[in-house]
Amino acid sequence: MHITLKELLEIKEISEILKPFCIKEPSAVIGSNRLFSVGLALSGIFRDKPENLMLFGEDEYSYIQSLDPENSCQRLQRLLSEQKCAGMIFLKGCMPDFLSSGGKQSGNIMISEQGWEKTATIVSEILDELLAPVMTKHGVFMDIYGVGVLLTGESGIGKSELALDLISRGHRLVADDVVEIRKIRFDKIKGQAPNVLKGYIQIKGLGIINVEKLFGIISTRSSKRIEMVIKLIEDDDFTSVQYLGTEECFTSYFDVSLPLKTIPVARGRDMAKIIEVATRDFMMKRKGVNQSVDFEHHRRDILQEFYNELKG
Amino acid sequence: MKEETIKVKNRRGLHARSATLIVKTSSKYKSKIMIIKDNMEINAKSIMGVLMLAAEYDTVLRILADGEDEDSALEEMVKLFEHGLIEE
Repeated sequence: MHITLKELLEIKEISEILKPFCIKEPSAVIGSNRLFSVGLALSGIFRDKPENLMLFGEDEYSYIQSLDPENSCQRLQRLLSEQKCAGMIFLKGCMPDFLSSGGKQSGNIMISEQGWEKTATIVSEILDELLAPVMTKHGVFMDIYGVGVLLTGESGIGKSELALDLISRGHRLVADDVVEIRKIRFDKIKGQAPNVLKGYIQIKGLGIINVEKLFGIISTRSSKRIEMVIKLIEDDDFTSVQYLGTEECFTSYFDVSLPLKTIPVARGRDMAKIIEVATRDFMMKRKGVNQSVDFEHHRRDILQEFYNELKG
Repeated sequence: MKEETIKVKNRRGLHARSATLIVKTSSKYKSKIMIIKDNMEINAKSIMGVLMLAAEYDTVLRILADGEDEDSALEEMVKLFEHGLIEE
């Protein structure tokens, strides 16, 4: 994913802190969420970062001021002019005189109204969100006891009906049918509904239902980190079903590994209850308690006792 | 797995009725049928997904079918789009 400098500056949160000072190339592409400090680049040690933004703060300012004017001007101009970066952000009051006086200007220059920390945090956060890799996945995504559970399975297996059941039990719907998945950190993915479908669910025979209106504000949630995947399968496919639950299965999206449970759907099974229990089990495992392994130890202990008695 | 690229020939794009038709048609088949637009991949058997595509006139879509009846499924889907998504 990438965005142009012009598009970035049009975003409301960005326009509140960054003011364009001199934009020579509005079509410059920002392809990385990392915001670099200008820092050492001023001394000449520099690798090209044509898709990054750079930040020029108090430290850089005092360094530039300590050099003789001609030298400092040259060094900074070089960084700005040869497309070494997509744009440079100067903190307010830290712009060298030769730039602010309207001298030779080149490259993309913005001024931040805020201090270093606020500028760096806000710009990085927004870039993170905008540039995060995204994909859509067929399924239902719910917040169950505060755990983000993605339900997958073939069409017609009853995912939406199950979601309705879970909603009436007090859990929250994030997305029905189409889930947008974003990688927000190297080890974290987030799921949400596409804007058009937010808060809606489709039930065969009923049509499209506005969940928030029918069940209230707490029945939906706009986005959530995905922590577990539950795959629903037909009752007759037992090859991938776990009987004891001692083996852990995983699946991955964007190289982020997530625990996977495969659960067969059969008539008369209270699926919502099973999903709730699966979520409770996940929460226990997260705390380091594995019930299946516990049971295995318990069984071994009893057998051992039995043998000992036989021997004794 | 079979794949075909098509164009939306329906003047009004994929509106509610044509979306229903796509879901009805694809649901007849056992194969998994996906429609891809840019980086969005949606299940052709789900009305929410098809509606979300918001595919307008002349949009290029890729149709994917995977399963035992993928040939006939893909054939009928392509025919459906070629006829401008009108019920026969």
